[in-house]
Amino acid sequence: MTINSGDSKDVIQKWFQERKFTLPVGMAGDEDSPDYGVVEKFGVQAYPTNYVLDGEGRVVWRDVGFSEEAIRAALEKLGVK
Amino acid sequence: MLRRVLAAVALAAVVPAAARADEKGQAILEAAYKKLHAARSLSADVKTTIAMSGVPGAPPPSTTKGTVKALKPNYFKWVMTGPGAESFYADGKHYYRVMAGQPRYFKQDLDPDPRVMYGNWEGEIDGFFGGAQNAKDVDATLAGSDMVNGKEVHLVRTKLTMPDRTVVYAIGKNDGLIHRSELTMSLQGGLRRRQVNELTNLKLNPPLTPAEFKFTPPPGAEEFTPPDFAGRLIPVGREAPAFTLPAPEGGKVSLTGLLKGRKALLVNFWFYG
Repeated sequence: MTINSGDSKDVIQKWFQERKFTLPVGMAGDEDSPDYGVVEKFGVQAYPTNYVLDGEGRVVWRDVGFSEEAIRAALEKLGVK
Repeated sequence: MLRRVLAAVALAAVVPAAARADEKGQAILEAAYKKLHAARSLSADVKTTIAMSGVPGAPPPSTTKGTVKALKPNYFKWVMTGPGAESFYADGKHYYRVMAGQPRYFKQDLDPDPRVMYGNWEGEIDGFFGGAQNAKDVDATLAGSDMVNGKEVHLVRTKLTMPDRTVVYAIGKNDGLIHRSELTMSLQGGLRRRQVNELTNLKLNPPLTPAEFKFTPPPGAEEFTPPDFAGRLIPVGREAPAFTLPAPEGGKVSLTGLLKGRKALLVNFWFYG
């Protein structure tokens, strides 16, 4: 899933439509939004930040920036093919 | 590659290009990357012109000149002179960025993956470290021919729509090397950046040694280390806090709902800007 902060619904939808990309999206809104707390609770200070959680919701890996290989490796350890 | 590691766009990297590439353009580009990647070392003279537009008061175009040298696995220097010149160095352990006339220079650990060296270049350098892998999913099309410094070249255009970013490579018809890259991209706030790199005197496998890549800070400049953006992340092993958020198409998404029946969940935080 992906959590967006700061963009409007229209921008988010256009971005996903152009890429024919479907995955669950949550909108955290900007810093004034009541939903922004998720960004702070996850300690996000820069974008992108990625977490990999196991089936019980425990953090098994996280990183700031983007490394496809590292994300794949973390998911594979959890049995995702 | 003008890589804005901490910007919003990196989610794009997991997305397969929607449009189909033109096969000939793609093949020429991949061959050029492969040829660079097969080399052990590289050197060239570089001329870079950067022009910003789209907002009042954008700085005037600037041209800087210099040299690039690279040696596998992770030695690199892109040394430019001129007003506002930016230089980049990798000495095998650290990565440095220096702006002419600035009192500070940036230093950070070198990423173990040499493909992520970043700076004011595109495939002409990314190909050397990353190979053809870096030419995938760029929607390459053959966009004509040109002459660059007396050499006949194919023009291969690569394009991403969001963010709006186009690179036109001039690839030698005879030598298969990238002689010019021309990047245009949209930045935040309506600003546009156009960056043209011309490589001349391009040599593959020149004799270079690691010692040549030793970094010497500019006289009087102080080191600046970027802040640690990972310091507040939830530690590995701890349970992630529950959340429920509105979805753009209406309705809600919740952590509990998404975890149900799954072995793993990737939670990505991003913004487009």
